[in-house]
Formats: sequence, C-alpha cells, structure tokens
Amino acid sequence: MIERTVRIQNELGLHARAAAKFVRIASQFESDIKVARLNSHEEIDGKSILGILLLAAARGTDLNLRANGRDEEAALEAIVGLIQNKFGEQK
Amino acid sequence: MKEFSEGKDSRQLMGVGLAPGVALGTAVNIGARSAVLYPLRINTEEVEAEILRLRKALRKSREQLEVIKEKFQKQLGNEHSFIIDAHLLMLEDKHLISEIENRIRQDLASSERALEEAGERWLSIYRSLDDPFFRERGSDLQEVVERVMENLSGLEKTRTRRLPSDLVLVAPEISLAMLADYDLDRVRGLVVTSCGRTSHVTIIARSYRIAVVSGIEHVETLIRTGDRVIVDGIKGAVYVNPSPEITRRCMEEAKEQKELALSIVQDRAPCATSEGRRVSLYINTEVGSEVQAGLRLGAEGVGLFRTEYVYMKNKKALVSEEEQFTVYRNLAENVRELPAMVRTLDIGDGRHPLFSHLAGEEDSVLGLRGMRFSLRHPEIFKSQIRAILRAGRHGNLQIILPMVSSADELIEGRRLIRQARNELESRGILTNPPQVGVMLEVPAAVWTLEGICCHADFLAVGTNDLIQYTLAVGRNNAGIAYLFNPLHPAILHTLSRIARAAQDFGKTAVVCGEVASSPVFAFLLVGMGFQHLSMNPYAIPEIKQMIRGMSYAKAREISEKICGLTTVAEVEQLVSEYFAGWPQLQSLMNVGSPSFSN
Repeated sequence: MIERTVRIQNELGLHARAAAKFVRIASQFESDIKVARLNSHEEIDGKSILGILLLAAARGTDLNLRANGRDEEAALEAIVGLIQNKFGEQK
Repeated sequence: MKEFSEGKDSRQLMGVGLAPGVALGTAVNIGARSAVLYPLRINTEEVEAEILRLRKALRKSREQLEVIKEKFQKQLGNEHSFIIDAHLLMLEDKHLISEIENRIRQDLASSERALEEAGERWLSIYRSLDDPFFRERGSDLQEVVERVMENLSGLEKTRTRRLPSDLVLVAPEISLAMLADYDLDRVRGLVVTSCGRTSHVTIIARSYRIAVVSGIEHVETLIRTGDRVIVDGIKGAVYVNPSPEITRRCMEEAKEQKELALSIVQDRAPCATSEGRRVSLYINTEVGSEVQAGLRLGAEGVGLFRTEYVYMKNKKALVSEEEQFTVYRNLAENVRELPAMVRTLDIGDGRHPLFSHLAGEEDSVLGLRGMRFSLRHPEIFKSQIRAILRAGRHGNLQIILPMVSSADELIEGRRLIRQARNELESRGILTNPPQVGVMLEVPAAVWTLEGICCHADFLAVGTNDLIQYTLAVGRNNAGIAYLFNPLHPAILHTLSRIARAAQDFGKTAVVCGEVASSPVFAFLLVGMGFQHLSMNPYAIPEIKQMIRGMSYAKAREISEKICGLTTVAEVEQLVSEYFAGWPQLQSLMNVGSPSFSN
C-alpha cells in the first residue's frame, strides 16, 4: 500500500469534468484507490464519480491518496500527475 | 397571467417570443410527470428477474444518453457533451448500482423503490454540502435517477414515434436533455414558463426553426395534450384551440412576414427617413451564425453581441481565452468592416453556478453583476478582453461595458483594457486600441452622463434594465408587470436626455433593448434623435420599412409633444391617437404585461 498527499491547484477544483477525468484514469488500474481530504477519516472510492464530487474539493484542498494493489505505483503516479497538471485546464 | 376566452375552449396566452416563426401543431404536455403506481415490495423468488429489469433500464438509459451525446456533439460541439459524460459515469457508478441492487436483494424492494431510496440517500448527502458549487451537482444525479425511473416505468412510451409529426411541447421548464429526447424534426413549437434567452434550448430551437414562447406561468395547467396550438414566436403569443378565423389570420400574418422579409432583402436601398436622415439598424444576437441572416435582412452590423452564452457553454469551468477567441473571431469574420459591439460578461441571474458562486450572493439584479463583477475578478475580465482584442484583428469589434453606474467604473475598466493590450503586446501580439462604450442601464449613469461621455467612445442603451431600474419594477415579477412600461414619462425623458447628450458630445448612441423592435417606439426613438437601433434580426424588415416611410420632422414634433406629458395615461392616450392601427401598438402599451387584447 502506498500513500501520497497532493493539493488541488486548478481554479475550479475537482468539479464535474475534472472528477470525470479522475474516475476514468483511476478506473484504468486494478489497484484499490481511496481518497480523503487531508486529516479526514472519511475515505471515498477513487473510481466513483458520486464519491469524488462529494469531496467538494475546491482549489487549495489537500487530498490524501492511497493505492493498494499490483499496479499501485503506476496508479498514484498517473493520478498525481493529472492533479498537478491541473486536469489539463489552463488555470 | 390572464387569458381571454373566445368561444368554447379557445384561448390566447401571451408570453415572450424567444425563437421566431409561427407554428401550428398538436400540444403534448410533458410538464406534469404522470404519477405512476408501482409495487413497493417483491417476493424472494422474483429477485433475479427484478435485478434483470433494473439492469435493462440502466442499459436503456445509457443508450439514450449515448444518442444524446452524439446529437449534441454534432449540433453544438464537443464542449457540450461532457455534461452528458458525467451523467453516463453516474449511471455506471458501482456504489450507486450496488446499493440499488442490495435494496432489491436484501429488503425485497421493487426496482423503482430501491432506485428512489438509494437516489434520495445520495441526494441528501449532496444537499448537506456547504459549498453551493458542489451542492448543485445533486441536480445532475437527480436527472439521471429520473431517467432510469422513466425507463423502469415504461413512461418513455410517450416519446416514441406514435407522437404526431407536428409536435408542440408544453412544459414549465425544459432542459436540453428533455428536448433531445424528441425527434427534433417533428417538433414545431415550444411553450414554456422559462428557458432563458441565451439558454441552450433557445439556441437549438432556432437552429431547428422551432418557434418558442416563454414566460407563461402555469402553462402545464393551461394547455392539455391533444390541444391544437398556434405558437407565434415573433409576437410571443400562443393560441390554444384557435377558431378557424384566428388560424387563418395567423397563417396569413406568418406568410406576410416572410414575404415582407424577402421583399426588403431584395431592396438594398439604405435605411433613411423621407428627408434622407440615415438610421442604421443592427442585430442583437449571441451566436455568430445569426449574423449573416441579419445582414441579409438589412442589418448594418451587430449592435449587441451577448457573451453570456460563451460562458454558459461550460457551467463547471471558466472558458479559456482560446475558446473565447474562436467565438469572437467567428463574429469578426462575419461582420468584417461593419461594427460588432461585444458586451462583456453580464451574468447576474444565478443561471451559471460558477458565477453565482463567485458572486457569492442571491440578489443579483442589484448585486455583483456586469462591470462590478468584472472589476472584482479582473483576471476573468482581462481574459475576455484579450480574446476580443485578438479577434478584433479579423474584423471591427467594439466593446460595451455593462452595468456601469459611474464614470469611475468606466475609467477603471479602460485601465484593465490597456493592461490586457500590454499583456498581449508582451506575448508579441499587437492590437489596435478598441472603441469602448458604456451600456446605459443604471439611472445613476444617465444622471452623470456628461462625465461618462468624456470617457466613453460610444453609448449603448439597454432599455429593459433601464426601465427596471428607473421604475423600480422587477422584470420577472408578474404581479407588477403592468408597471413595466416603456411609455412611462420617466423613461421617455431618460431616453431623450441620452439622445441629446449623444448629439452634444458627438457620440454614437445605439438603442438595443426590446422596444427598438416595436415600430411605434422605434418611430419615437428616431424622433428623439437616435440614429442607431439594434434589435432581433427578424424585426429588421418591418422597422426598415417603417423608417423609409416616415418623416423625421414629424416624428420629432410628436416625440417632443409626448415627452412634455406628465402622466402615463396622457402618453398612452396620445400614442393611441397618433398610431391607431400600427402593428404592435397594443403589445407596446402592454409590454411586460402578459394580458392579451385583440
């Protein structure tokens, strides 16, 4: 099991389109992916759009990502990359 | 909302025409969702069949959404289809699905009951979110749940090809997804309580030549499925079960309108009064593709290009400078050397979740909208300005700043526009300084007009908001709609004051509110001294014909006389004497008022 903390940097936060991208990428991996707001115990499934939207992660929110499975390294790398790349948005 | 009986079952309703054209068709009331009874519980041995039934409904919903997605991609481009993508992902969300299936297996709930309970549980969590922007996402889930429910209950049968081929859809509100469920080639008209002028529905309706009348309260109780209906999207009138006499008259008027448009199109003579005083007509629009139609109808440019639609394309994210640039360049290439006046972002009615979130308030009519919003969020403003400036290299684009209440906001706006130009310059893009005008809609701006004229290159007059703010009458308050009157002496004084100041300072003043498309009011505006009127493209032929037959001297005399009156009753009296028999006279006297008089 590996863990990473990452900050949402795009202006709009984890809104619908960003959430859809998140879920699409997470679903490509076999590993279990859990997401929580930093210092929160409420974990959600990274492959559920309803869950991701419920994080209500606006810009500046720190998220704790956990992956568990054969391809955990690759999974977190892809998701962290997506977030750091501001979901491909300009701002 | 008043209705006037005319014989048995025959009624006339007045609303606002949003997409032109006159359509005769058969009403289908899609507003009232029929109450469907379904079993709450099932037996143990029915579980597997019930799960199959659920999965079938889910699959059917997915197929429908795929079709809608493809339809939108074709009609509107990729950016619109992502909202459908989010809906598709919700349909596939395994937490939602397994919760529904668990309720079927463990609680022996019927599919409908299980879907309703699971959906409600998720919705209640969304409703508890503090952030309104994310809370709003619950409505997407709700739409998805309703779709599956309809497929479970077999309600979708009403949407199949057994429907008549001359459909008039009737609903309190209609979303793009609802509209897309129908074969649009069969839809002739839409009658709704609200769908917003720049809403996607209106844009789609125009491109499919569907007549739209909006603003009719409780429409779902006034028109029943099977009623014969005439939708007049030009006048904003709906005739329910019209007499043969009315049907004949409406169809004749529609034909005349079309012929008039055609005859004017062939007549390339300039728009001028009998003395030869030029009056330029422009179009109000939000889509570049309407520009060519407007120019063919005799327009000399775009007097008001609303940019809210550019932003409404994406309710979740800010539209990038590049995306905006594409839209404005299309506009510029359509007008070339003719002017197109682009109004900067004026979202203020909470229709855009993102902006109502940024504005952080409910009361947007008197709140943070137009220039106020832009000055609070200069980066959003400047990205729009950069896009306009860049597009301005392909055609004559000018800038209108909305909701300005003092010269200070104009001066500050111009400073940001200079900054935006410098930013472009540092990117190696050289642009010309744009013409910058002010939308006069706040009375305070009219009171300080001399100061504003010193800093503005031109003036625009937004009569709808000007009336609302001057008379303290909310545009959308049906209870006091009778007070929303452009013939109020205060409005006439305000307008003639603007015309005089524009002449004194040598500035162009474009009137771009709805009243400019009324022949009577356009006559008065020309009499006051205005030489630039902007309106919906389809009103141009009639106004052009009226102006070419009028005398400026006479109009001036009448306008001066009317502006000297002190009561609304006197003004209306004089207007009805002078203009007896003029088209739209009656609707002018009742502008905003939904009552109908024949």
